[in-house]
Amino acid sequence: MTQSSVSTGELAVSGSKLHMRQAGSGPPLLYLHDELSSAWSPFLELLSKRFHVYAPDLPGFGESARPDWIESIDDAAFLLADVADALAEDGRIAVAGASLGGWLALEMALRAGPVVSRVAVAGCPGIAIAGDPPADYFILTPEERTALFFNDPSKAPEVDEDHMIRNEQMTARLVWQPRYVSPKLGGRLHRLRAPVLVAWGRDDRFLSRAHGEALVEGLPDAELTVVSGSGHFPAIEQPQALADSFMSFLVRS
Amino acid sequence: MQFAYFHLMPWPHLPDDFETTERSAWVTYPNSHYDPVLGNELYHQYLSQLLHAEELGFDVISVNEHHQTAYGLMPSPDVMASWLIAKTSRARIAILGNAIPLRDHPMRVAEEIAMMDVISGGRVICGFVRGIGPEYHNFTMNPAVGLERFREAHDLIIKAWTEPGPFRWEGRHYPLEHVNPWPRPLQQPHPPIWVPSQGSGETIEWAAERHYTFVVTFTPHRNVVRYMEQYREQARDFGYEAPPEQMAWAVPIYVGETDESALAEAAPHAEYLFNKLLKRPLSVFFPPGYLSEQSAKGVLRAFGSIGVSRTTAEQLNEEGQMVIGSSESVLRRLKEYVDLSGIGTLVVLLQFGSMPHEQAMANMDRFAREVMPELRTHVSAVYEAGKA
Repeated sequence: MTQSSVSTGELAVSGSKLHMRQAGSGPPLLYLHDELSSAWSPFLELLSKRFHVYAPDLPGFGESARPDWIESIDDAAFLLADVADALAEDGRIAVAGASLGGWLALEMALRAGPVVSRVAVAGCPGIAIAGDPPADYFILTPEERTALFFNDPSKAPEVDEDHMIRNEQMTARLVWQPRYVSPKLGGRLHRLRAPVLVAWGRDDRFLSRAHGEALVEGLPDAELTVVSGSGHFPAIEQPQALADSFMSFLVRS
Repeated sequence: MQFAYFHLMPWPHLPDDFETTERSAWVTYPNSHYDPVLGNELYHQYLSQLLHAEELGFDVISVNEHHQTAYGLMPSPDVMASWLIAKTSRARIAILGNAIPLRDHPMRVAEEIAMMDVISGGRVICGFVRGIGPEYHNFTMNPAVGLERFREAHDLIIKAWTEPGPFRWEGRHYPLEHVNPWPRPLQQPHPPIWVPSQGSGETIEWAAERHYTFVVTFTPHRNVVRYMEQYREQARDFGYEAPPEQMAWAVPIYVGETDESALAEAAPHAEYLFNKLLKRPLSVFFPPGYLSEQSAKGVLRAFGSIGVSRTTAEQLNEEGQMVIGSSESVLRRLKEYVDLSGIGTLVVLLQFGSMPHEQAMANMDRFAREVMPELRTHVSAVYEAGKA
């Protein structure tokens, strides 16, 4: 794969600064990374063939500092709504995200309103289903997590120690209690007017596909797609297949 | 020197193959393994040991708080302390708990401690702890805000005890319109505060600033020496010389006939404590956010993700993490440790791991008869002229 030129810098919004990578040309796409890694990836490389991809490190993750007031999914969603406003062209921007980033994409889109044109998410937690919780991410050892998340454990991203610790601490700050869900989200989904694609790894053992189905049922305009040959992170295990689904959905008007 | 007799009340019936079949004695070890009938007998044995400590002349008897674990069966230290208050008349009762950030509201702690202080005629010593990592898995509290909650809960409790109510508390975690606890504590301005810790620099500074007794727990002795030096330094920075009683070391001790027989008798119980009860994947013991990023990195480098490795009683004894030997050896080594560290309060654990009742009582008797009297009058070399 030829590497496009990825530029790195800081995005300043509403008094906060986020470390951000960007590449590609085309309409703007805000990508919200998963809880494991915020690094540029083959998946983002593919998206950047069709979009101008903006990939900030979420607040408290990677190289981005945590503003003091970011203590919850709700807080982060409001900050990201400002990010969407700042990066939109002609008042519109598409948004994509994986896992925690997918959840934040939905929560942000709920708060940002019409600036968000379309949303594509993969393996997205957030919906509470009684008796069917996500696996307890925090009690698992790193080895157990890898075995749970990936069909092919060799696909697990290499994350440097500083980022691993920061990403894990910030994830805990956002989703510790209630664990990886928002009991309010189900009752709010009907307000999300933008079309949403919900992708799910066929072999997701972290979060059952019922969570994706519940999102599709609750959203006014949503569809589900299942990615073969993948566990919880199709963007990592099947980048080409997921990028194809995301792009064909996101370019529709 | 003053002496505190300390108990963890461990569950002594873990199976022999526990280390290979179970992740940890914390959080996920099924409570179907707890037998309430055996539990009844066990509580009464352990409580009788605590009462015996008063008879043997210990200054303080001390209870502990841990949750949902075979490691210790005192999820409510206040329940234990109130039982002991009713059965004792002289010894002070140290409550080490309370894990204040795990409570929904710290005013309950302020109230319960004040009740016990008044009932006991002012015999309560009040511990404040953050709760250890596994307990954040069992409760709703986010480990990332545990320290903030600890600090605010502490500030609120102290103010509730020392300033006239009613007042309004404008806290971040415990905002409250009316703070006005009845009763107030008998001891003035409030019961003495002890702060158990594994030696974090922040805790040392925080405790020294407030003249709180700093209790180092389960730590190789060379680290105890270092932490106590830091504590004295901090106290000087805050403008005072820390009195020896304000520095405490919690340590399991076993006194036998000879060094060899003591080690042989103590080993299965010491190893039960450190290898079974303290077996701990890091994800269980240090949930994300419990430690600062810097400390988390240090712990990860020191242990890897699987947690501490197996140890032996011999190794624990050599590191001064336990003191095991004949009465002469134990006395000599404790004097040496006191000389090096400057502690003036010894918090001793004389029942540990799977040690049966009779053996624990005999260990207590030997310690009280053959070690405590001479050690009591020993003054650390740290405080001899010119060294302090």
